[in-house]
Amino acid sequence: MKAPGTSSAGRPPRLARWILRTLSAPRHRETLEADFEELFTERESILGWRAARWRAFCDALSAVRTRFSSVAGDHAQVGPRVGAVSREPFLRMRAGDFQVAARGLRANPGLTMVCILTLALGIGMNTAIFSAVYGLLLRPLPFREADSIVSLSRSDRRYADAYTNVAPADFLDWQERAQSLSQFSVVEPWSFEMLNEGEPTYVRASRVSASFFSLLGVQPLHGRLFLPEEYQLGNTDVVLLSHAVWRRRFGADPAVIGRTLILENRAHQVAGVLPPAARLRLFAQDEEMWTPLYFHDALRQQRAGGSWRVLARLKPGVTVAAAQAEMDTLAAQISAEHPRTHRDVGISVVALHDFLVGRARPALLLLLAAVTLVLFIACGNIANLLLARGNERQREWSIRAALGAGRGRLAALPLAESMLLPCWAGLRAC
Amino acid sequence: MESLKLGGFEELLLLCVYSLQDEAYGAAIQRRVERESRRPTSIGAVYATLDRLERKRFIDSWLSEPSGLRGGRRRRYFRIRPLGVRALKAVRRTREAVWAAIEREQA
Repeated sequence: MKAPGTSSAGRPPRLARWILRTLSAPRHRETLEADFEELFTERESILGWRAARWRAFCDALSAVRTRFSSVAGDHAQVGPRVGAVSREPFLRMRAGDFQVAARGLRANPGLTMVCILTLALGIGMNTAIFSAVYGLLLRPLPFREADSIVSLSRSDRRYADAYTNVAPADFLDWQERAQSLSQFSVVEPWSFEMLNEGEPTYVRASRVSASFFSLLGVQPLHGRLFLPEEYQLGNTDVVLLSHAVWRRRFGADPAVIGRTLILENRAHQVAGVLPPAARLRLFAQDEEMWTPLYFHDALRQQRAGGSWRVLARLKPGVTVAAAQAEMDTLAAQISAEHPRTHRDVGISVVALHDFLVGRARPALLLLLAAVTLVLFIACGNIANLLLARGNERQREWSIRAALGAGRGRLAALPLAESMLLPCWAGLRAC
Repeated sequence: MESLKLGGFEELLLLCVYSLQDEAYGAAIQRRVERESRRPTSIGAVYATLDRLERKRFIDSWLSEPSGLRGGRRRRYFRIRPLGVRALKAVRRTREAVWAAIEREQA
C-alpha cells in the first residue's frame, strides 16, 4: 500500500527527490533528476512501487555520497557500506568537518552564543586566577639559587608561634653560631620623607646589611651596588632606587645616577637602579629605595623589640629541616642565656618562597579550586546543551549513516564542533 | 602523454557508452550497466564516474534539446572519444595477453 503524501503516482518519493535535487552536483541536477524519475517509472512497472521506492532512496543517497566523496565511482555501490564500517579508523577528521561544524554552529546562534559565553566566563576566570597563582605560588623567585634562601624569624610560643621580627643582638648571635647557614643578611623597614621640588613625599625604603644583595644575586640595572665602606658610620647617605620608582618619579632617566636627593633633610646620593625583578615585598609592600644599614654599638646590645627580617642561605647539602633543628638548639641556648627576654622564644626557619606566599597559598588554592569547579560546571552545562541538540539531530545522523559514514566520520562532526566552541570562547575570554 | 588508466567500473561504463552510441544518456547507461554487470547500480554513481571519464577526456557530453518527454527536461548525452577507445583497447590487450599466458601455461 502506498503511503499517502510520500509520492505522486509514477514519481519517486518526495524526500528522495528533494535529497537528489538539493545535494547533487549542480551541473547534473536537471538531467540526473529526469533520469532518476525515468528509472523510477520503469522500476515501478517491473518491480512494484515498494521496491522502486527503496531503490529510489538508495539512488538518492548514493548520489549525495558521490557528490561529497572524492573517491566515489569505481568503489561506489548502492546502499549503505555495511562492510566498510568495521575497516574504518575510529576517527577520520577532515578540514571539511570544521567548515561544516562552523556552519552548523552559525546556523544556531542562540545555542552557540550561550555555549561561548559560558565557556568564555569559565576560561576567563580560570586564566585570571591561574595567572595570579602562577605568579605567586609556582613561578620561582627571581634570585640566584632561590631554593636555598631561607627566612629566619623569632617565634614566640606565648603567641601561638606567631612570627615576630628579630632583634639586632639575636641576629648577631645567630650569624655567629649557626653552622648550617651562611650569608646572613638583615632587612629593616624604613621610610624617608623626600623633598621633591619643595613638596615632601613619603618613600618606602629598606635598610639592608652588607651581604643582602650578594645573597640574592641581584645586579644593578644602572650604577652600582653599595660599597663596603658605605655600611660604615657616616657613609650611609646613599640610596638604590627600585625600577618602579626610577620610572615613576625620575622618568627612567639614567642620568639620575649620582644625583643628590634630600631624604629626611639629609643629602643622599643615588648609587644605582635595581632591575624590575628585584622586588622582595618582605614588608607587604614594594620597596622603593634601599639604603645601607650600619650596626652601631647600641644596636648590638638590643635584644628585645626590633623589626628586622633575617635572610640566609642554606649551606650546600643542608635542608630546611636540618637548619631548623640546629636553630632549635640555638634558640634553647639563647633562651637559657637570656631567660628574662627569651623564655618560650624559638627560631623559625622557612624557605623564602614559602615565607613570602605561605599565608596567601590556602586562599589562592581555594580560589583556584572554586573557579576550576565553575569551569567544570560550565562544561557540564554545555555538554547537556550539545546532547540535547544531538537528540534533535538524529535524523541528520541517520542520513549520514545511510550515506555510508562510519562511526569515525559520525564522531568527527560533533568533535569538530566541540573543538571550535572552546577556541571561540578562548578568543572571547582574551 | 595522456594516461590510459581505467578502473573496473570506469571500463564498464565506458564500454556501455561505446555500445549505446547515440543513445548514451544517464538512465540508458545505468540500465545497460545493471543489465551487463547484473548488479544494482545507482544513477549517482553512474554520473560521478561519467564526470571523471569526462575529466580524463575519454568521453564528452552535451545537452539535448528539450522535448515533450520527461516533462520537457533535457537529457545529457555522452559520446566516447578516440582517447577513450584507445584506453578500452589497451585494457583489452592487457587482459587478452594475460589470458593467453594463462592458457599457455595450462596447456
